[in-house]
Amino acid sequence: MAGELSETITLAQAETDLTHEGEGGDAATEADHGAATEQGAATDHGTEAAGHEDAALHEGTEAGGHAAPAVFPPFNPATFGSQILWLALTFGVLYLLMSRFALPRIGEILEVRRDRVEGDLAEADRLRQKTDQAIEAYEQDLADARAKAHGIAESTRDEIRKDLDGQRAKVEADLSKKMAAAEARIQETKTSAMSHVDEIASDTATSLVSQLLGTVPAKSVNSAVSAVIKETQNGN
Amino acid sequence: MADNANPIEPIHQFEISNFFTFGTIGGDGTEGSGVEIAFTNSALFMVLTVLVIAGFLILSTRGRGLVPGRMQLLAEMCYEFIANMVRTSAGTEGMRFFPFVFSLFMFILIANLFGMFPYFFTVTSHLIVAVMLALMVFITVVVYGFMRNGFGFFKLFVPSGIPWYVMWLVVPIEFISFLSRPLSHSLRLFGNILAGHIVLKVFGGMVVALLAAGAWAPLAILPFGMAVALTGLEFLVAALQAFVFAVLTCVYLNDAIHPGH
Amino acid sequence: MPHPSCGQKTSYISTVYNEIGLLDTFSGCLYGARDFEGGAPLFHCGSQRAKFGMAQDDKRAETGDLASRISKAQSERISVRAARALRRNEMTGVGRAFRLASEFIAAIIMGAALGFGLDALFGTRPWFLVALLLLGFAAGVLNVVRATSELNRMTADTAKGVPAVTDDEDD
Repeated sequence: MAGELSETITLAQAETDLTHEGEGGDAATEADHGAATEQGAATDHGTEAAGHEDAALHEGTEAGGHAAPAVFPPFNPATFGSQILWLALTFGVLYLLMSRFALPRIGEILEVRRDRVEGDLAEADRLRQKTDQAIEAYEQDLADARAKAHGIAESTRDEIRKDLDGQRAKVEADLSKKMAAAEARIQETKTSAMSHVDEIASDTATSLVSQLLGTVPAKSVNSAVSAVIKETQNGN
Repeated sequence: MADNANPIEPIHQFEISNFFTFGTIGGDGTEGSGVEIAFTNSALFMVLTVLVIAGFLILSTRGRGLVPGRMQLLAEMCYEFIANMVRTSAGTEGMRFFPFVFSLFMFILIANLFGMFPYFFTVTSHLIVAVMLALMVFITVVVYGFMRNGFGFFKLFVPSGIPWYVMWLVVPIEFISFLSRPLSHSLRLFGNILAGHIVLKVFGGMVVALLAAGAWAPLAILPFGMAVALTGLEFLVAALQAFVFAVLTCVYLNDAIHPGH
Repeated sequence: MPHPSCGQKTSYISTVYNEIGLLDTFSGCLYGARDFEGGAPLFHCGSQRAKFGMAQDDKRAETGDLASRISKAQSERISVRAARALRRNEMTGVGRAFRLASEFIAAIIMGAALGFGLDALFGTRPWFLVALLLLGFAAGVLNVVRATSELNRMTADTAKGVPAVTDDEDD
């Protein structure tokens, strides 16, 4: 029982604390008090029934608990009163502390955290969706660009081919025109050359005849030559 | 409370000793009559229990950390644990009793755990404490049940789908069943704790007795092993009984909220 | 791994390039952003197109992992593992026996006490005691049945992880 002194001191402190707090705890402990009085009535019965065994017990506890209790202590009605009182007091204080201070605070902490976590998760999901969209847009752009490049290449090729074809056609047309012109000129030259043949032939015949026979009238020579030409032409 | 005088005596640990007596209320002035009011070792441990709970919960959440520390995490786990229990057993409306159930759970849990230390007094091993706690729940259920449902609360005693001619038998049975709730509620708590502590003490006493018996000393290992195993079991029981008490409180409160079966 | 169409396109474009000498900045098909995690190129010309079209149906390959992680974190709440463990413990052996026994005995005691009180009140000893003792016995059986079904439901709920009571606010 050496430690009892120090315990009593801490106890006195605790008790003063408690009475302080207890003042505010009345409202919360009302229900308990009701129960307490009810129980108190029952206790009176018990104490009367217990009779002088209780007295013996009192002496035992006061002496430092050396003697074995006459009543099984957990059922001993003599202790009920103070236990009920202190239980009501302490539990009332506990309830008050919990419902006023501790629980609202923890609830607030949890709420803040839940909001924060949910907000962050929603933000993460939003960013993820944005990423998806960006990827999609990028892909779309890429496909578009590729299609455009393809189109450009295609159109350029077509253009160039058309251009080539056009130029070739032009050159060919030019060439054929020139050829036609040349052919016409040849024809003309040939015709004109052919038209000069009888002239040359009559001249030649005139000079030949004049050499051989002296002068002859040009008119007869000419008619002779043309007759010959006509003959050869007919003979052909 | 210190009981070195007779280590084998398993009952002594439940002895209540007065630190100082304030006086007696009522009675006829003779010895043993009236209700004695005193500050006892039981009261001391009730106060300690409340101080530990409040100190732990309020100090650990002082920082209000977004990322909890170890202590804050523990406090938050207690909160979530009971909040989930109340919500699943008694619904959202039952959440108005959350501080009550939480106080009950923490009080019983810490009081039980205090009892696990040698030479400490176990508040919940006393009948009257358990009965008062159960009565508190019972009265809350009845009062709230009538406040919320009026006479509809009597539906609790009238199961639906029962023919009228068995009513006269069923309703008393249901009534007794309802009245027996605080009894079984408190019996279980106090019985478990009391029985556990007695058994533990018996085995502990056997160890001491065998060690003192000289030649038989080596045999002390057997009850010692038992005591160790039982201590582990008792820690589980301490938590389990607090949990069961809280769960049943929720179940009963649910009856007050939804009296129809 | 060039896609067939990619190969064709490349050869076609480079033919044009060779013929005309127009697309002088174009160089093969290894272009595109890099993957977020791996170092491999994200796109291989048109080959990726088809793959994305398919992946679009469920989740994108790149952000799918992230999406599943986000949804998992969203569904995950602070665990009720402790409650489950305790409930599981309550289901077993001694705890269960003690619970049922206390339910049974409490009802009998309550019946007996009520009977005793009524007898004392009306002076009808022992009739109320006998009757209410019997009723108490019945109530005890009822308690045990109820507690058993409750325990069983708890076990089932614990296994499934659903609330024991559904919230009907409208009654």
